[in-house]
Order: sequence, then structure tokens, then C-alpha cells
Amino acid sequence: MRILIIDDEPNIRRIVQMALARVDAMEVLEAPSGTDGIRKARESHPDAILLDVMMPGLDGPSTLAALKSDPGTAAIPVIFLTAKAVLSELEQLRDLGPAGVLTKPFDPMALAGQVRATLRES
Amino acid sequence: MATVHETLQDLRSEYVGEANENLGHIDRLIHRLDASPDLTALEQLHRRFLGLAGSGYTYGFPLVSTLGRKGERICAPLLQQAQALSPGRLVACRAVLDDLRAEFDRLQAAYTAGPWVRRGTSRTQPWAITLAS
Repeated sequence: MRILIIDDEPNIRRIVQMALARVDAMEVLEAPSGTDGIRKARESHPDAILLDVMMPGLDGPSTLAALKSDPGTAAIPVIFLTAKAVLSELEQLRDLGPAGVLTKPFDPMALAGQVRATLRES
Repeated sequence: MATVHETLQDLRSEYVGEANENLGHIDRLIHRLDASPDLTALEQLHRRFLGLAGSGYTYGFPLVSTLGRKGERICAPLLQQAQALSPGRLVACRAVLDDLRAEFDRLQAAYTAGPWVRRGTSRTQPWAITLAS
């Protein structure tokens, strides 16, 4: 399974890379911004995208909208990975139509299982 | 090849080692906000605190997450209302920063003392360590 992580924080990209590649042998691609992530999604057609919400420039919701409006990427399941903790904010994110919403902080040893479960349920 | 545990330990060391740069950014942003209301700086400060809230526990450092969340909650309502930080909230942000510094000082000390042993060979990354077997 090939996963694209879009997050402006290098320390989150690093630990997601470890959590998915080392724990579950997933192939992990990284992008540090929404714009870069959209380009990489078009080029590499990942099986799923883990998308940060609060990023400078193109934020998570805008990135999701751009991915959904592009026929080349519209079918790729997108999972928000957010540090937001307020329930109403998480519900607002779910209303945008991602495959799921996972929260930070997360257990790196359990992340791959959470991603697979979210994709199964979507 | 390193085990998952060793890799995670290296990532934790790297995270702790990079903290001072992040805390320096937070310090400068608080100074900017002290000098004048600046929504861009407030947004950046909020994002820095939110980043620590999201990453701390992920790396195994729950107090970092707790403090990051505390800072994030000071900034978030003001950001939504496009308001400046009041002097009281600036003091609260500084207190969070001081607590984060104390926690990372503690972690850096723990990561450069026993029962750890150096695993990496880089002299520029003295925190590249792992548990002694």
C-alpha cells in the first residue's frame, strides 16, 4: 500500500514514515505543503493520503477540495490527520467528506492499523 | 538494520534535540506580539503550540502535548475573533514557554545521561542515543 503524507511539520512526516513503513511495510511518500502534495498525488497516485489540517499556504480543507475537484486524484481516499481536539471542529472536518479523521497525537505503533481500519470503513 | 524500537528511539532523540529551535521561534513570536498586535504572528504562535500538542505525545512525551495544548487554547479563541493577545494572555503564553523549556531541558538531560548509551557516531548529534541492552 502506498500512502502520501502531507504535513508541514518534518517531525510528523518522519514519525508517520516510520510508523507506516517500518511497522506495516507501507510505501510512504512525503509532501511538506498542500501544493506539493497535490502535485505528488497527481504523479504517484497513492492508495490513500494522510492530510494535515493546519498548514501555511494551502490548508488541509483547501487541499482536499483541490484533490476532489481533479479527476486524476478525486478517487484517492483522504484521511485528515489533525491536532484539533474540539469535537465540533472534528465534525466540521468530517462534513468535508474525507475518508476519515485521525487525531494527533497518535500512537506510532498503532497508526498503520488505524489507517487500514479507516480505509475499510470508508 | 535497526529495529523499530531503535528507530523510534533515534527519532525521539532527534525530536528532543530540535526542540530549542522551535522554542526559540515561539519566544520570538511572543516578543513580536508583545511589541504590537500582529495576527500573522498570533497565527504562527497558535500553529507552533498546536504542533507541539500533536507531536509531543506521539513521540512519547505527554507533558509536551499537554503544554502545547495549553498554549494553543490561549491563542485559538483570539484567532477566531481576530483579537490581539491581552497582557495577561501574553504572560500565560510566556509561562507555557517556560514550562516547555523546563520539560525539554529535563528530556535533553535524560537523553544524554545513563542508562542510555550512544548509538550514533555523529559528534554533532550527541543526543543520538538508545537504551543500553
